[in-house]
Amino acid sequence: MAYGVNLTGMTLKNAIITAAGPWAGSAEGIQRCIDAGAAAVITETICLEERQRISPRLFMKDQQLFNTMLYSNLHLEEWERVLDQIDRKDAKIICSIWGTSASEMAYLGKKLENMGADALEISLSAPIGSRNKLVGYHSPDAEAFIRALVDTVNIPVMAKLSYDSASSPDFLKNLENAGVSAFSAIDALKGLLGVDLENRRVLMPTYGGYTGTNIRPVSLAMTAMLRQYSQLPIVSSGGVLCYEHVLEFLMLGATAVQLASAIQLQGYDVISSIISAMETWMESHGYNSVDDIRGVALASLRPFEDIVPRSLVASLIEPCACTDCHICEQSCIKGAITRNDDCTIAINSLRCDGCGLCVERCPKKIIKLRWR
Amino acid sequence: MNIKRIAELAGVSVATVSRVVNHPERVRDKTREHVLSVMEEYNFTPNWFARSLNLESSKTIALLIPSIETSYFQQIISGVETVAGNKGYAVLFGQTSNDPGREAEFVDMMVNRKVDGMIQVNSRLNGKETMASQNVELPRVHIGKNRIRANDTLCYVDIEEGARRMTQHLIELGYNTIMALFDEMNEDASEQINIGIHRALRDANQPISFSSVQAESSVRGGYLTIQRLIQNKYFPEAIVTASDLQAIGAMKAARDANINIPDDMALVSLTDSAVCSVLSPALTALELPSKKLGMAAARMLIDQIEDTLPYVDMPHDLILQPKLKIRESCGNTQDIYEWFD
Repeated sequence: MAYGVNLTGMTLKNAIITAAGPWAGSAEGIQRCIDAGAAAVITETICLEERQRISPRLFMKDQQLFNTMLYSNLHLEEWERVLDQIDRKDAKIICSIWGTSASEMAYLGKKLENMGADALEISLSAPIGSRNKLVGYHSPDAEAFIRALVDTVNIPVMAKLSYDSASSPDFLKNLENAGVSAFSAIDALKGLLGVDLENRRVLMPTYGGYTGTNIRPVSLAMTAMLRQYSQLPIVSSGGVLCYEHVLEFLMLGATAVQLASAIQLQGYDVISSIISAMETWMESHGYNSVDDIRGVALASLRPFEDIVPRSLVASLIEPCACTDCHICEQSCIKGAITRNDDCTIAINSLRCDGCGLCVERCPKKIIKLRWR
Repeated sequence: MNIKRIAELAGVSVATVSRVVNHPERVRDKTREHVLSVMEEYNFTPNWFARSLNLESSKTIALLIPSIETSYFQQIISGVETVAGNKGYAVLFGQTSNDPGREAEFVDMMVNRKVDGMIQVNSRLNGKETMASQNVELPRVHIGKNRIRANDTLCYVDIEEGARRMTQHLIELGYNTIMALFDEMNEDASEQINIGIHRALRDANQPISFSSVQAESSVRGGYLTIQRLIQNKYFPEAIVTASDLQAIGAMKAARDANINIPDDMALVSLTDSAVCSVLSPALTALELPSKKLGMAAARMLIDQIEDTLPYVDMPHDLILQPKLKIRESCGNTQDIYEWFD
């Protein structure tokens, strides 16, 4: 079964798009994304700059991934050749662009439309470099930039949002007024890897874009929020590593989902494995269309104020005699969890105020919340 | 009959009709044949189309530039050359030395040599061209704000806005007397800088005393100007120079007179260059995207040369924004490293 989606008039064969990034910075890379089954490929960001990228530009510590990449190293003429070379099959090509003025955006967008781009994505607010002070931070200039582009081209224009721009309803309204067709969210967060204490130096030379699995919860929240702020389609991104993550975003209202870190860390094959795993899940659950699951989880999301306080306390569902594990005791700032004389765990229900942390953290999953 | 009407009749976008004419290989066979049949049915042969078939391309473009001695113009040349090389064009170039007569001679020479198009940097012709060049429909792009013909393409850096931001920065740092050194050979830039500075002065909360002098755009020009100020016992709290070379000369003059920059006098340049960050103190300057400007101009020129049917909606003007690089010479102490505004 095919699970196609419609994104601002573009028919996508599935909900998986590869995000703007170095994996789509050459004809070979774009082709591999297409061959792996991506419904659309967003190019690495194309601009009119002449600067070279820095090296090293990828930084990683534990599971934390940082990049200091702003845009493609290829000039526009080279992109013309790239776009000519690829065999698009049934995939769409979305060109990510960036510029410093309205006329620059309009020129670049029009050129890429003429080179055959199916849509454009404006990189509004990547957290790297100083380029975005003008447009990325809620400035009215953003509206002028996008309006110049939208008025010039005849293809959809998507706006890729940072966490803070996505959180501002006024800013989103400006972008909508300017004629944006869809939102991509979220871009990388601004991050620093850390400080080398002995040498008193930062571990990376400039602010980086913090991406990967750790930013997914932030992006999930933004997808749900955007769904409430705006009627425009949302293309979610941020730490999507497996098909379950894709489904989560779709159930919070995303139209499609972008893969980025997954490709960086696992290679192009991850695209096809996520697509087929997702189809298997959809089939096994009897869904015929992505529309059947889009936004279905939103009904269960409520404002904090609407949640009725319930009087719950923690209790053990079986005695626990672990003596090498102290997680629940350490987690309880109320001092409600102690040891009996025989070293088994005791929960004092008068002290417990039902925060639920011991339940979340118990490795044996033998603590539950019950009515007082 | 025009391209818009053809697009309507064929039920495709204007861009598709453009592609059929300019890049038929990029249009699906079925669509291309359909559009061509509509064009044939309505006997639509765009003039440009016919013209380009008759002309033989020399794969050469001309670049007329005031000087090849400053890094700003060198970067423009490098940008033009980069894109021209990418697209298989050779660049013929002429140094006009800001002389309209010399520039007019070059225009004629280039036309006679059958260049495919021409880029004119800071043109001084003001429409006063010779007969030969006036009668030629040569694709033309201007770098700078001085368009000659109404439909010429313009590319420029918004130096007016840059000068405004730089002046605003100086005012925010508390300077009340500011002097500008203009480049005596570049009237157009001086005028834009002057407008930008006055916009910042108007927006200031307190009255600012402003004066300006014309100087040669060189180390010597900056040196002599500041030396004269010092010997006349007048120096402003802050000096803005048009070029980095003037600023370097000003620094030397200040040092010779035991005047400390920035404690006794702040100094900033409206042109950044590679040396500005290694000077002591590091020079606050405006980064002009000059190579990018040259690249953009060459692109827009080659668009005109190669696209026999102009794309509707293609922007005519391209404005690039400069970047303020705040270092030490302006007296900024807020930050421990250079930052950009």
